[in-house]
Amino acid sequence: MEFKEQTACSLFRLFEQGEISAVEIIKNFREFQGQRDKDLKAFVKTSWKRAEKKARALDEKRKRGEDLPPLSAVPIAIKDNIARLRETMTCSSNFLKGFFPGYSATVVEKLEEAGALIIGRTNMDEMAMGSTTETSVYHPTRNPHNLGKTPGGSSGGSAAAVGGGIVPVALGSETGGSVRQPASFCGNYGLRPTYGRISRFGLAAYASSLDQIGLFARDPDDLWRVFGVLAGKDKKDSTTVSGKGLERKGEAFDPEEIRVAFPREYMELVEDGEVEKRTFEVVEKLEKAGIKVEEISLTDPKKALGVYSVIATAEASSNLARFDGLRFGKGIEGEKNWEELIKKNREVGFGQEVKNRILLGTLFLSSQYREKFYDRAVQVRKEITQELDQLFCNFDLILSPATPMPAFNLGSRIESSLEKIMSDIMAIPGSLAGLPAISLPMGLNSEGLPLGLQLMAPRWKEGRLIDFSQFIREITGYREELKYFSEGGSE
Amino acid sequence: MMEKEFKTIIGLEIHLQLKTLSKMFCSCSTEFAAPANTNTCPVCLGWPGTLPSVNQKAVLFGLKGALALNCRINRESGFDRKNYFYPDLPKGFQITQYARPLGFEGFFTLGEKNIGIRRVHLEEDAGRTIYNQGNGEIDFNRAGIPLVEIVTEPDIESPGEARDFLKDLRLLILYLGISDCSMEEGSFRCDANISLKGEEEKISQNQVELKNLNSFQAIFRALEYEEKRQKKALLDGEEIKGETRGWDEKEGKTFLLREKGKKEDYRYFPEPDLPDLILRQDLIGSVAEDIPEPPMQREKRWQEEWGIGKEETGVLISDKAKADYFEKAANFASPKEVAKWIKEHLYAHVFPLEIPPEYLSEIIKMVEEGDLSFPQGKEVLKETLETGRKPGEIIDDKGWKQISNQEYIEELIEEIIENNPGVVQDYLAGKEKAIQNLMGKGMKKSEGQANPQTLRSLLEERLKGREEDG
Repeated sequence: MEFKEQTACSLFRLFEQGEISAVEIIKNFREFQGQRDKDLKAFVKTSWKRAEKKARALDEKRKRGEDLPPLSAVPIAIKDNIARLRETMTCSSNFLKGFFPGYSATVVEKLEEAGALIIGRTNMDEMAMGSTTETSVYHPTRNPHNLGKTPGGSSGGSAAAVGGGIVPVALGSETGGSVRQPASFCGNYGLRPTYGRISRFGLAAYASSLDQIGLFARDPDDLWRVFGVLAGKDKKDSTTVSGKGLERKGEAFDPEEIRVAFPREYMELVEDGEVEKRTFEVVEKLEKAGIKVEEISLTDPKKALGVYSVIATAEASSNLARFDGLRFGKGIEGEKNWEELIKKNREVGFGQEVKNRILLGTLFLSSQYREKFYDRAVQVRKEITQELDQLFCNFDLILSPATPMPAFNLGSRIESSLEKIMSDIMAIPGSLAGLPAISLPMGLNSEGLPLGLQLMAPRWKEGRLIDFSQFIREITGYREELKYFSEGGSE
Repeated sequence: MMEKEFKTIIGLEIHLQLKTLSKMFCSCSTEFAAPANTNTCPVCLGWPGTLPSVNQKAVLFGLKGALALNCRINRESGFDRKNYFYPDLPKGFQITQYARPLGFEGFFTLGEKNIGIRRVHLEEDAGRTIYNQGNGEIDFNRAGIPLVEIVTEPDIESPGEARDFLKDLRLLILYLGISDCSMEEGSFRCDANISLKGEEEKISQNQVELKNLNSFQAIFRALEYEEKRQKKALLDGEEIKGETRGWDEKEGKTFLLREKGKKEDYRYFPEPDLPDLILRQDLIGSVAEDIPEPPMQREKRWQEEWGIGKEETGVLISDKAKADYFEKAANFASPKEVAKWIKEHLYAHVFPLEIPPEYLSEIIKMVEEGDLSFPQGKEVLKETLETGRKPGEIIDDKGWKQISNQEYIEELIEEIIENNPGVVQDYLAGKEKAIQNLMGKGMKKSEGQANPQTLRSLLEERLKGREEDG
């Protein structure tokens, strides 16, 4: 039996039934990670000792015949912007090297209570700003399906860890498309839950009104299981919402009841022939299976991208103001004047991409430009949200490619920020509207790179995304084209 | 030549620290004078990943303040971020209410005049920078303490009026119980804007903002100084520059802190980590019901309805506990007498007293009605305060109850006259002092319980009758 090929659900079952021990699981995964991550560089820190200790406790628990929580013995990786007690949280930034937050994010507490084995922290673009994981202060992460390609970003480390078979499940975070885009590039299922569904407490903020913790897995059922653990109102995050049930029909799901909207403006953004072709193939297969797919028109996502750039950078300029190097993080020595001190700390601490975004956001909020940019963006965001909400009166899901192109070469898009952002574009309108969305495997292209499909659903309908993803997997077989465990991957 | 006349225009900004147990957006204690940086947590230190959660109590306190200042209430208000860098501002922004304050368009009645209240809003305090030999040391205990900011309209016309307004406002806030209002501890802080306007001019001169005024005296003197300074400058044909000035207590002068050339751009925007603050009507109603009668109104009522003098009401009103205690005690005895007793005999006590107000009124009433002598009354009060025993019990133990019963005293007098013919003779012979002797005999016979005033007047009456008979 190959441990690493198991899903989170099957690992749990094997553990529960006593066929494997949690310690064995950790040992096996550790070994594989040790080899595989040499190439992928998905991790910035591993915590095997802690995981092993927890595994031993779980084995004891099982022996005593106690109830086992739903993620018992499941290895999980978390993005480096999610706080965990007794661990550093660096957001892959020079600023936070060696920073111990001293508390755990709500999601981490929930994972730990659910018996998950957190095995390490994954690489990311600095402060979650980027789409390739190349703005990380450590190193770029590589795509498990082709080491010369980017895994995407900003949650590239988590996507590569799951896509490379190192863990069955990982947490990431999304502001624009930082889960769905890398999930698509690495052949994963990537879920962005509804805004307010999962607590952001302990997630280092990029843009508060957009940030949401997301999940990666190789199987829709795994996503659902972890999602179920993480979802819910948290009194430490006032934007979380209570009373919204978790609903998944599962066996009772009837795909023929689903009305799918297929926006042509999204297709017009596709930069790659194979992405286009595959998407139409999916549509064809759905129609053959009796699903109504209707081509419709929506606001051009490029407009949403503009709105997003203003709001995200504006909020970031404020959220990142706390990084002054005085209370935490790296600060320089010997400067007496506080203004100079803060300036120098920020100069040395942040990378260029972060600085660019802070400057832009500061400009957008300044009294001179606020009305023209920030206020206008907030207004258009409302319009985009209303348009999507309205569309969902007549449709159950919106289908599009997850990205306009497959993973591109590492280093190829560093120079052009806008072009990089374009890889996120399909995700942006849903992020602005706070809607749940998923990216799911759409097979491989002729180069052997994963392609991804995106589904968006009305608020709180994550269950529908999971059910329909499962259905697509069954009727297309695209997921089965992916090989997650091959070592190396060709360049 | 007539001297040019100027009108003084003053507006005030008051910051109150709210008397909540925990901070505005985290659960740290708000205790004053705790060792530096001990009342802090990742949230109020602004560590990455932390989020604010609104202290409900602070919202209710703010609402109470806004209602007591007759404000209109924004039923849907919310928080904004005010962005600026300063070492004692942990997040690099202050969470405040900018676009939608809790209350607006209120007023405060000062004597016969209403001072407009522009807005009342909630915000969080910053940390405190302590300068030590040229180095700034920061105590973040204060960071995140809930504040209410009250901004008046520029309706105040003199330094004296500013001081009176602040004194009355402070008293009102103390009555509301939402702040300790301690100027020394910084829980009541005031900035003042002052400008002058020529009688015939339409617009006033540039505003000067006075900061760090930490006593009523300082506020008054600084405004007075500034009023004179600006007037002189204007008469000399100078222009008043918009600037921020501090107050030098020793020199008795204001001094330039900074010029208000370029306005700082705070890049306000709605706080995305907090949902809108929705206040239900029933909640507003229940907070409104909880607002006590304003002290100024109460004082006036005492004067008008009970005829109590200004001196007494002034003493009583300045302390809500005292005022409440007085009002209760006044239900059982003459309010005037109660007021007098509290002012004269209980000025050193902390209110509410340990004894129920009924005890106090019982003693006062007995003295008033002659059942106890005044020194006895004071003694009983002292003892009940010390022991908490009922005044009646103490009086019984001491056997002090005075007897004013006329029949009893008349019988007593007959007995003394009969037993002391010599002394009576002396008195009748014109030896006025002899009556003291008879009084003493009477008091002794009654074991001190006879009311001395009654005894004396009846005795005199009786002896005079004899004189005439004789």
